[in-house]
Amino acid sequence: MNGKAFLALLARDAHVARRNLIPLLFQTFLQPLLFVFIFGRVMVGSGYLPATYKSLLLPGIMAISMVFTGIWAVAMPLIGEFQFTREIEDDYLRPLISLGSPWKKWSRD
Amino acid sequence: MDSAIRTRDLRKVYNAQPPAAAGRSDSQDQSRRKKESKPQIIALDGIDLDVAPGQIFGLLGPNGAGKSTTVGILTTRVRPTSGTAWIGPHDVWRDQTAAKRLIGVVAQRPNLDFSLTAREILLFHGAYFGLNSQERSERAKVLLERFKLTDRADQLVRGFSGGMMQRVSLARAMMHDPQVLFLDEPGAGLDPQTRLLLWEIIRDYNQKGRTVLLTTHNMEEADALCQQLAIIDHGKIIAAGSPRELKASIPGGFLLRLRFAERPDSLIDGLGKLSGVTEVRPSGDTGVDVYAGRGGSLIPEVVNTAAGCGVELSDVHISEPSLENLFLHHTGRSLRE
Repeated sequence: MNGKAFLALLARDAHVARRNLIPLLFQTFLQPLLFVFIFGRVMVGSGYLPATYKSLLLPGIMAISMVFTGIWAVAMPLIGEFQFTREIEDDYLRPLISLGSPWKKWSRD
Repeated sequence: MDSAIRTRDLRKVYNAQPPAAAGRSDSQDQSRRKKESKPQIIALDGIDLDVAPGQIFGLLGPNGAGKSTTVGILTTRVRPTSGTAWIGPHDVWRDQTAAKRLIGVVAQRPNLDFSLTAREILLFHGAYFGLNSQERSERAKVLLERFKLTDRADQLVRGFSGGMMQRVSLARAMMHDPQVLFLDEPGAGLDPQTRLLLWEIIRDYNQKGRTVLLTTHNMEEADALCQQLAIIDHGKIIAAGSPRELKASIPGGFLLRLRFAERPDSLIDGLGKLSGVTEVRPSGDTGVDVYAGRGGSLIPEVVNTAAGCGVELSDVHISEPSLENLFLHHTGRSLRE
């Protein structure tokens, strides 16, 4: 494991996140906010659900946000790297760590 | 460290379709694939290469010859089925990280980080390879200048044209000053001007004592740029040497591709007896390839011979000594077929 290269990769991700801050915030917070609004406010307020439902809602929203944010943050860039930019080829050439060759299995293009 | 790049009996068999970057889609390969019931494709069949440090080495071959697979193995991206490859003292499969530090790679198609600007791509690439920030910004500036990218250095590469992306890729590969630079078809898709700029940059880089390995199917490029060449077809090296040596090895030098209305045996005998002719080969249905020491001055005699046999000459093509003829001589097919 090469610490310097790893830190550089982190710095790159931080840099890109800062540049795309607003879309990133939307992507992360829009869904939980909408869920809270629909289930916590509209459904409970109009009497479809009991008021105690709000306390059940919190852990559910937290769990679903974590799962979806994780999937989006990992899968979306990976899809891009494999399909459009083909950047994975270059990622693999960074002197970071030898993983065996994931390339062999992945390379179906 | 005797050689910069060395391979011994390198073989690669794909059990399924190889990556499209290897470009195996020509009709000949498809028909071959149909004949074998198993979908096994032999991409490399025992490649032995020795590239001395400080050389520009060219791998020349048609689509699907195994050029990209060779580069893939040498750059640790493809696992060889058998055989070994070394970059300097490092076995590229056993010692991947060390090998990766010594190489810079330009892939056939640009694979840039679309979230970054051209300058940032260079800066971060330098950082991955452990350059300090001062070195990074200096080198990035020099390279952007060199590749004529300065005016768009701070725009996202997403909007760049193909040629510009190719230039950024090359600049990125040179950023960490690798000992060995791999270029997979660097001239593809560039306009003539950019290609000349590219050649100049590659030569300059080579002047610093760095090794360059490039693949191409462009004869002109191979001839202009490479000090050593290996001609590769169907996963085998069929000829190797300097461009001059290779050209000298073509019998006769000139190649006359003739086509007749029909081709009796007496015609081939007759053509073989003409002075200056070194080799006569039938090609296609009614064609004849004549390798000879002279070109146009042979035509009247060819016409006379044909008339003597009672056949009419329908087409003539004379090519001067070139790598294209060499390829044709070794494989019996032209590069573009």
